[in-house]
Formats: sequence, structure tokens, C-alpha cells
Amino acid sequence: MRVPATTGGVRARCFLPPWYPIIWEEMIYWRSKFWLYLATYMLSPMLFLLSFGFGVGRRLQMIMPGGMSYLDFLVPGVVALALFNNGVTSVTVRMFYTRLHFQSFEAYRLAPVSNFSICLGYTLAGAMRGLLAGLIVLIMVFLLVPGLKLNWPFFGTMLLASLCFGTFGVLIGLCLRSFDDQALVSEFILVPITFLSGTLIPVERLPGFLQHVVWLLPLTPAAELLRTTLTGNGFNWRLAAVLGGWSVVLFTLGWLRLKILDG
Amino acid sequence: MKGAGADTCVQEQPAVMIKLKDVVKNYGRITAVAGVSFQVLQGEIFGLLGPNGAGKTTTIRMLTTLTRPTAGELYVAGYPVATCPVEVKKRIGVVPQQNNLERELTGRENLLLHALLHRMSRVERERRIEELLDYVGLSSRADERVQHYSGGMARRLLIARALLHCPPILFLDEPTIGLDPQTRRKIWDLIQLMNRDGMTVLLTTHYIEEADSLCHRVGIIDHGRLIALGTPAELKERLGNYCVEFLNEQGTERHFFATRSEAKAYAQSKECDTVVRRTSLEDVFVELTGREARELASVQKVIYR
Repeated sequence: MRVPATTGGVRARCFLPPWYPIIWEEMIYWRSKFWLYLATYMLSPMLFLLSFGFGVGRRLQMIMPGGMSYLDFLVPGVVALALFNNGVTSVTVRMFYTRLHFQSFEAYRLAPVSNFSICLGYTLAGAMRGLLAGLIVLIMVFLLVPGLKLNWPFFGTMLLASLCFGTFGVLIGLCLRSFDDQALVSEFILVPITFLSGTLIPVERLPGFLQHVVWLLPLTPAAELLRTTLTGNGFNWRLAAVLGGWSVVLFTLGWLRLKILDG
Repeated sequence: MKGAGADTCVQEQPAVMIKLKDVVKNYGRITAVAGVSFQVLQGEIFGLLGPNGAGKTTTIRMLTTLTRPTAGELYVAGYPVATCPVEVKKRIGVVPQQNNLERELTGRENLLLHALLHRMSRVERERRIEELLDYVGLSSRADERVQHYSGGMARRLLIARALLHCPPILFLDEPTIGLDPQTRRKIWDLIQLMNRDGMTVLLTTHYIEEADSLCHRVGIIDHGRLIALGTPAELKERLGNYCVEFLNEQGTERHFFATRSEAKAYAQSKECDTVVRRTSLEDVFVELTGREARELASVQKVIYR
């Protein structure tokens, strides 16, 4: 048997960033399951648009503050939901299976890659998944709601929001300890955020105390910022700062969580 | 050796590739490792033997940076594990007990992922992947998804992955668990070939035959403590090189003697059927850990020195 060199270390190095392998692996999944992902990303936004937008949308006009069209309100909300649900869930599910089920996450932790790079890689993977879903929804919206005018601040907001949701997904993924935890996260965190964050119903129409509480959720400033940019009301820097702040806080918590897992 | 508190990555003398000093690991009130100390020298195959739950895997996890020790000092390739984990990771290959390959990826993609994580150049990673697929006999199945691999194929791919970045130290946690005898022997050959090339190997196993035939030195660990350390021959000699074994009403009884003539004389004094044989590492293991006695109360052992 011919024996390849087993010791001596690797000399030549590549210049790809240390988080790149996580993204590369994500792309392999995309390649193998692209049509499944496409169908998944289209289904729930289409249901929201058809049922809320074109179904009960006209009747919901009365709840809109300032006489805004409900469809105009709903479109950025559905985009925000696509970014949130796919960005968070894709990372959470991947981390759940690789950490607790297949244990392949250990391969990353055994590599000479810092915890920071691992968190960043997973965040970017989640952000990419969210962005892909958001763009697919936008294409659908163009077909269903003609006359929509997109602008660069809107795309910038999509990018910022998807990064924020990627960090959220990493934090949840690193906190999961069992399959039951995953169900609890879905029921007690993701579903309430989905419905209460000004995506389908205006925040102003929520019960009094909730109107303030929902601003503590990262989806609320994301949906609101997408709405203000899409309706041409300019880029609200204060909302962008809140979203950016959330990203930093969630990323730091995820990073700390990974350090704790080292123990 | 430099203190564990050192925050600079200064390499220690390379002859000692692995060093543990009074290492303790507690999980709450449970002590998994209770003050283990030993060294592994360059080019050695060192086996950590012990029953299930003895602390072998925890020791490997601490050495490979996956778990932090509660107390004590660990050095790998001269680097303190606590303060230079990245330097340690560059110099180790790890074959875990459980298959932790990415099932959705092919064998080749799994190796490519590892090469990217170790930041190998394109030319080098392509060359090494082909070399190692050939080495472990997986070239023809390299483009199949790992979920379709048998246990033996997955284990060989894990070894190829661990060797991809040419580490000087290899950790194998139960490398042949659950494999058929042919595959097990093939993996033993791989380990010996790697060692012949200068690689230092630390493996855990509870297959005594594996440790006896592969390891230059063996450490026996039980209840988180290292209870014996030496070459297989030394450990057998300490117990007595010859064993007389016979069955009585209470079960199998074994007696150990320094010389064959002593053993034969004792065997002849018995009225029942006896077997005189060389002491095996399994005898040493069972005697030291008392596992057999704990689990099968019928067994009696008497040692004559």
C-alpha cells in the first residue's frame, strides 16, 4: 500500500476567509435541494397574500391607520416574514441537527477556526437563506401587485434585516438542547413574533401594552423599516440603528453561548 | 513545560507530544476525570484502556479542545491547550467515536469541507484528497453521499479526513467500535502505517486485543483515575507472565505466576482440568479494573507473585 505523507503539516494556504466553508456547505445544500427550497419559500407568502391581501384585505381597510391600502401595508410585512422565518429557521434547524443529532458541528469546532468565525459563517448562511426567500417573495409580489416601486434603501433594509435574523437563528440554534426545545422555540418565540410584529396587523391595532412590548422584538423595526422605504417615506435611521443594535446584541450572545459550550 | 496560564503560543520541546498534569474534569457533582497525569512521546502509539464511563472520551475531548478541564494542565505538540487552542487544532487529527460526517455531502465533499476549514490551497487540497481517498480505498465511492456508506466505509473516511491536513498527532476514540473483523484489521494496518511515517497516535479502546497488538504503551483508566501505565509486556509481567485457569463451582478461577514452571507445578497440583497460558492484557485489565468481578460475582481471582 502506498502511504501518503501523514505528518509535516500543510504549507501552502488559501486566502479564503475562515467562515467561507460554512457558506460553501450551505451552497451545496442549495444545489441539491433548490426546487424544494423554492417551493417552501413561495408557499406561505403566497397564502398570506392571497388570504389576507386579496381575500379579507378590503374588509381590513378599516383597521389601517391613516387610510393606507392594506395591500401596501401587507407586502413589506410578507417580505419581512420571509426574511425572518427562513433566516431564523434555516440556521436553527441546521444547527439543531448538526449539533445534537449528527454531531457534525464538532468538525467545525475541531478546525482551527475561531468561535467568532463560526458564528459569522452561520449568520451569513442564515442571512443568505432569508435574502433568497425575500427575493422570491418580491418576484411573486411583482406578479400579483403591479405598480410596486422598489428602491435601494429597501434592498439595504432587506440585507440588514436578514443579517439580524441570521444572528437570531444562531443564538437559538446554540441554545437548543433537545427536540422538545425546538418545538417550544417555535410555539413561544417564532409564532408570537410572526403575528405581533406589525407584519400582518398594524402595531397600532394591538392591545395597549403590546404596542410597546412588540418594539422589543427584532421583527418589528425590520417590518416598519421595509414599509417606510417601500412607500417612499425615506430611510428611517433610528429604526436602522435599532435593527443594527439587535444584530450586535444577538451576535454577541451567540458568540458567548458558543464559548460556554466549550466548557 | 510552561504554565497553563501562559497567554503566548510558545512551542515546548517536541519530543513530548502530549502531556497531562493532574487533570480533573467535573460535571456538576460527578467527577469524570480525577487527576490524570501521563505523557505521550513522539512516534508512540499510546492506548487509553478502560471500561465504559471510565473517563477515556472526556480525556480525549479535553486534549482536542472540545471540553475545558476543571483543573490541571494539558499540552499538545508543546502548546498549552487552554491558551493556544487554535495552534493545537492545526496539529491534531481527530477520529471521533461517533460518525460525525455530513451525511448530505459526498465523501469527496466531506474531505473538501475539512480542507477548506484548514485553509489548504486548491492545489494541495485536490492532491491530498485524491491521495487519501486512494489510501483508504474509497476512490470509487468518493462521489456518493455519505448517508449511503457502510459503517466501515464511514470509519475509513473519518480517518482520511483526520489525516488530510498532515497532522503530527492523531487522536482516535474507539476507532474500530462496531466494525467487522476484516475492517478492524484494515484499520489497524492504517494506524500502523501512519505511525511508521512518524505520527504520534493516542487511541482509546475497550478492545484489549486492539491495544495489545497496536500500542507501544498503554494507560489503564478507571473511575477517572489512571491506575496503570506501561508497555503491554510490562503490565503483564507485573501480574505474572503465566496464568493457570480452571472452572470450579463458583466460576472461572485464575492464578498468575512469574514463570512457566511455577504455573505448571500449580496446575499439576489441581485435581480438575486446568489451562496454562500466557497472561494476556485482558487479564491485567480485568484484574486492575475489577470490572469482571463487579459484573460477574462468580469470578474469583488470586494473584501469586
